[in-house]
Amino acid sequence: MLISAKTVNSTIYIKLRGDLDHYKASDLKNQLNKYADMPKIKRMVLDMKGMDFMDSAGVGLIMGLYKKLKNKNKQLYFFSPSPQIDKVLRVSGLYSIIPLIEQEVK
Amino acid sequence: MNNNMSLKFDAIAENESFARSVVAAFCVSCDPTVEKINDIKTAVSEAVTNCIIHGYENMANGQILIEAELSDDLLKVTISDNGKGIPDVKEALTDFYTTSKESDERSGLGFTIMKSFMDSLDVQSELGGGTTVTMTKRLK
Repeated sequence: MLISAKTVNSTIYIKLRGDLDHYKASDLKNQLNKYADMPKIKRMVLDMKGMDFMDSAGVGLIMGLYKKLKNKNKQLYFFSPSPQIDKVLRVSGLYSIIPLIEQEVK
Repeated sequence: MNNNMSLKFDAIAENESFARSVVAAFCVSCDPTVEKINDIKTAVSEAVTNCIIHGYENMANGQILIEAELSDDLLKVTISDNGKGIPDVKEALTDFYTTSKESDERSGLGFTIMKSFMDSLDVQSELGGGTTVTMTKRLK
C-alpha cells in the first residue's frame, strides 16, 4: 500500500495505491495517523484513484481515522473511489459521515 | 460450463490477496462482468479474513480450504476453517456485529458485505470444530 501526501494550505491530500485489506491495513494505519496528528492540518482527503481493491478491513481503518480526526475537529473526505470501493463504502454507510469530493486534486 | 477446484493454504494474512485472486480467476471462463468479479473478490476476501482473524485468532497455525464449483454459470464457493467456531451464528450475521475490541478498529461488516455482494450466504459453525461459509453467485 504505497502512499504519497501533499499539503495545500491546511488540507492534506493522500494518494493511496494498490490493495487495502486486513494484511495491508496496519501499516497504512500508522502512516495515516502520523498525518492526522500534524497540527497544521484541518482537512484530510483520501485520493483513492490509484487503489485497486478495498474490503471491510479498509472500512474499519477509515472509521478509526475519522474518529481520530473528528476528536481534533478535522474533517475527512474521499476522492475518486473505483466502482468496487464505492460499493463497499455505500454498503458500509461511510458516505453519511465522510463526504465525497468531486474536484480533481492537482 | 462445469468446473471444480479446491485450494488449501495457510491461514496467514499474506494469503488474503492470493485467495481472492484465485477464485476470481477461476470464474473468468464464464466471462462475468467486471462488477461481478469484484463482488466475488470482495466476498471471498471477507470470508478468508474471518478465518484468519476469528477462526484461528491470528495464530498462523491453521489452514483454510476453498472449494469452488461452476455449474451452468452459477458459482458456488465454500470457505472453511477448523478454528474455534462461532458461538452464535445468528448474532454474528448482524450488521456491525464485532467481537473485537474497539482499538482493533474492525468494522463488523464482513458478513454484511458477503450477504450484499453475493446472491446467497450460508454459515455453518461448530464450537471448537470450525466454520464453513457457502456463497453462490449467478455469473450470467
